[in-house]
Amino acid sequence: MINTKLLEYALHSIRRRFWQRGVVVLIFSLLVFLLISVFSIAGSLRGELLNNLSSLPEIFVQKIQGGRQVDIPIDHAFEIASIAGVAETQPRVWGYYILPGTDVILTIIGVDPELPATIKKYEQSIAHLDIKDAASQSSFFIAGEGAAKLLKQYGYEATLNLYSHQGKQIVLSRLGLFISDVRMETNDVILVSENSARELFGTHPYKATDIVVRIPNPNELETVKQKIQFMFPDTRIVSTSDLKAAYDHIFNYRSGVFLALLMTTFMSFFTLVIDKGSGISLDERREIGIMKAVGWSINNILTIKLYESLYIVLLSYVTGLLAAYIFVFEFGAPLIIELFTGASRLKPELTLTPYIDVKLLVLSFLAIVPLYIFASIIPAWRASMIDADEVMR
Amino acid sequence: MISLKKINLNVTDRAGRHIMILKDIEFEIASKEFVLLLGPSGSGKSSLLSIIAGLVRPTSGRVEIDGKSISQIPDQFSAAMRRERIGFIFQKFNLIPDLSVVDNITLPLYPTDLTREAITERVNPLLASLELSDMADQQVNLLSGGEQQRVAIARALINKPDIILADEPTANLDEDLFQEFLSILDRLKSLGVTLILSSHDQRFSELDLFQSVYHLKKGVLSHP
Amino acid sequence: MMLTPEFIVLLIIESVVLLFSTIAAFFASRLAIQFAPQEPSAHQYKLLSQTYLTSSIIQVILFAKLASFPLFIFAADGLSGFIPGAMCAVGVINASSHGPLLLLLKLFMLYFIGSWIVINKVDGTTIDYRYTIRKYKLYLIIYVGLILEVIFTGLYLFDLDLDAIVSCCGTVFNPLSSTLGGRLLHIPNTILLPSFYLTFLIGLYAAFRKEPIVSGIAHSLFLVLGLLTIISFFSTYVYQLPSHQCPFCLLQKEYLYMGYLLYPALIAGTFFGMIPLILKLLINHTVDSYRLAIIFNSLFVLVASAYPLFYFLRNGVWL
Repeated sequence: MINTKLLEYALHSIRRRFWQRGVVVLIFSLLVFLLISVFSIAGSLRGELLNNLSSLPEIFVQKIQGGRQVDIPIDHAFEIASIAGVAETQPRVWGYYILPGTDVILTIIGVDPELPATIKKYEQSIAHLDIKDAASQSSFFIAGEGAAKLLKQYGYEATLNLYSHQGKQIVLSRLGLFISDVRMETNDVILVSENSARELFGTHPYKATDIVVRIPNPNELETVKQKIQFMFPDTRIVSTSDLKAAYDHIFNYRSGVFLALLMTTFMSFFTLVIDKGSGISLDERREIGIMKAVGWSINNILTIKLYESLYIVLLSYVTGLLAAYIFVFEFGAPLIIELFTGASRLKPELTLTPYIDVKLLVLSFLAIVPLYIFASIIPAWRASMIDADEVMR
Repeated sequence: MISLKKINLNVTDRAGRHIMILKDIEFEIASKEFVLLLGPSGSGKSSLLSIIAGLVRPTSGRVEIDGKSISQIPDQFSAAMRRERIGFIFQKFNLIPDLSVVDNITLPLYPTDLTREAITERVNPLLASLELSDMADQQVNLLSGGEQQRVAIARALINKPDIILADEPTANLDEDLFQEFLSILDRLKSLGVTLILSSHDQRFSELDLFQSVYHLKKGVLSHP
Repeated sequence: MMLTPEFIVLLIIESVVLLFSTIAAFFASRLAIQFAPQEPSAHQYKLLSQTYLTSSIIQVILFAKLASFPLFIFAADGLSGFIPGAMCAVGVINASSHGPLLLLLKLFMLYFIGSWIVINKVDGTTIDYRYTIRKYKLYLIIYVGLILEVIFTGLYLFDLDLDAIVSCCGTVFNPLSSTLGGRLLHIPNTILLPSFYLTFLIGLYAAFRKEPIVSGIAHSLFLVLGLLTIISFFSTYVYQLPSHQCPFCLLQKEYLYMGYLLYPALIAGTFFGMIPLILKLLINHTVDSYRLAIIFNSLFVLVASAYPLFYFLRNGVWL
């Protein structure tokens, strides 16, 4: 049904006029490249975070005082545990620690080797270490892979010197490394004993940084949240679905996906105006005149021209796609990744996991291709209207 | 088989002036007839041929082929007619310079339903008969004048037309090529095509190939 | 803010469609009034050249609409995170009373524009531009439809309240509920299914006999029944859950994206089945699209029926 000879002719036509068309292909490829790069980074980071989230418990309960988070009484955990639908609660002691004189921010999490719940999360990652043994040495630390590399840069390998909030030096010796699927976790996370954490952050023995609440049945989530809120009005309850929505929100809007699309659209139109405004060369006019004289109809010429546009935009798309993939996943997307990491620069470098989201590919395809095809209608039409007789004299 | 009925062609130039190109042209051409249209340049010969080919619409009057008007029909019909029945040989060959010989010759067949194999079957004998087989894949702008002429003729024949229109086909040719062209005319005669040839070259009128000779001067036709 | 990527791309495409359809409407209105191809004037020649422009634009618009229809559904799905209670596109679309209407309008426009393109093709085979003026008048009606789409989309978006809780498919398609979907699904499967297969067979027969009127009517009914039975019957076998009556989940990866086969097949099949009648009514001319109708509709019925059939064969019972 479709005349393949015409398809061939259109393709051949582009090859013949490559230099003319080449500029458009280049610009479009660049646009596709930018768009897909931003999408891929966003997608990859989001994937990481979601992955991270899925390994998190359902609800965090934080105590709020004066609009700020403060330590929460451990008693609350027991009361919350009695709510129907709650499987277990776990108070956690953790915090951010800035290595003095550097801009490195570590996340230090206290684990109580005795309490299975705290290590449950890390169980797999630290299974190879004998943590029970460490119970006796309460001054251990286990570094995440990424964190360990970082510490090494600052001269900390087997030992780590930390300064508590009171200025007291705490020396920890390394028990081992933990590896986790979730790269973000290992990048800046250090596990220490709960006692060490308390000492470091000055957390009261009967208090915790926050309380983790596990709720097996997602349908009961909202109800339990409400109950806890009622029980403790001065707390803030964050569920993972809230976080997910927040992340989604960030990645959809603030992160520049929005900007990327908008920017690409405007740039596309701009390019099109330049390309399409440039008219039809004398050679091409003659060619069309000849074609008409030997029996090509106006519709044939329209078809050829639109096929040409299709080839160009598809070629640009594929080129941009490949370039983006290599840029983001082979080279880690230097510069553009700044869009996402923003002000709070995570010192350790994030390596992005190759991530192919069909949805995003389809979307970027739809953001670009229809525009170009529409814009090429008028030039294609003008070409088809060229008068054969005039041109041949 | 081809009737021209009161063909008038007026155009307006950029300054808005009306220019008369053809006035009340009327004649008939029988099937397989060879017709010579003589006239100086600017007499409207090319326009007349374009009108016969359906490329240009006359201001008034019409061309009928086999009793059916071809002057007011939609483009897709006009193009189909050219594709199926007409072979056009132009003054300046009008080949597409960066296409190969074969691609130029088969250009009229692209919009058709013919398969590539069928097209190849058709083009090969044609290449052979015009001694173009050796340069089939060469770009035409690298060919000599004579070779290009043969390519132009091959293109006019590829669609097995029954009408050939030749607009000043020898205007840019030297003596040898002129003679070559004459031999091709002989071959066309044997193919049984209808030919309308326009030229300012009086030598054509000395040949007895043409059943009818017309003179066209400033858009007015006369029969000597 | 609801500016999800899907939504933005949808807006981009719809804006471009709006722009170009307006350009086409401008030319179409002139053509509808002034076109007189037998007049050999320069003005007519210009109008003639504009017919090519207008027709090209409208053809590209069809493709854009074909792409934006599923995109709309996915954009709605993407918004489900923002609208409480909505778990997928179904919930989002039902969040406003304009939602389902908008969806139906969009579907209708696909058929409408498709019909125009067939008419355009037929017009191209006539030597006297027989249907040209009528064709462009028809396009003006299409343009009104496109504007309506824009208005309805605006109304729909305006209605979307990020705080009001909406229902998801469980409620929407619950035969007990009073929503449009619910009311239609009041009809029990014991009536729906036989009607579905019966209409299919009638349509098939009419197609073999190339009878436009019966084919047209049968296929329009078949479209409605097809959509209803997908929701109330076939989808439950795809999900293997009698209470999961959802038209949208079929498009997901978990179910092998089967929806992308079923829906286009149904739409194409019914379109080709209805076109002979539509053309007869609009331009009193007929086309033979019956073969395509047979192929697509049969494909649809075969694939849809395969699910309950295989379920029964494997499990010995129906859901």
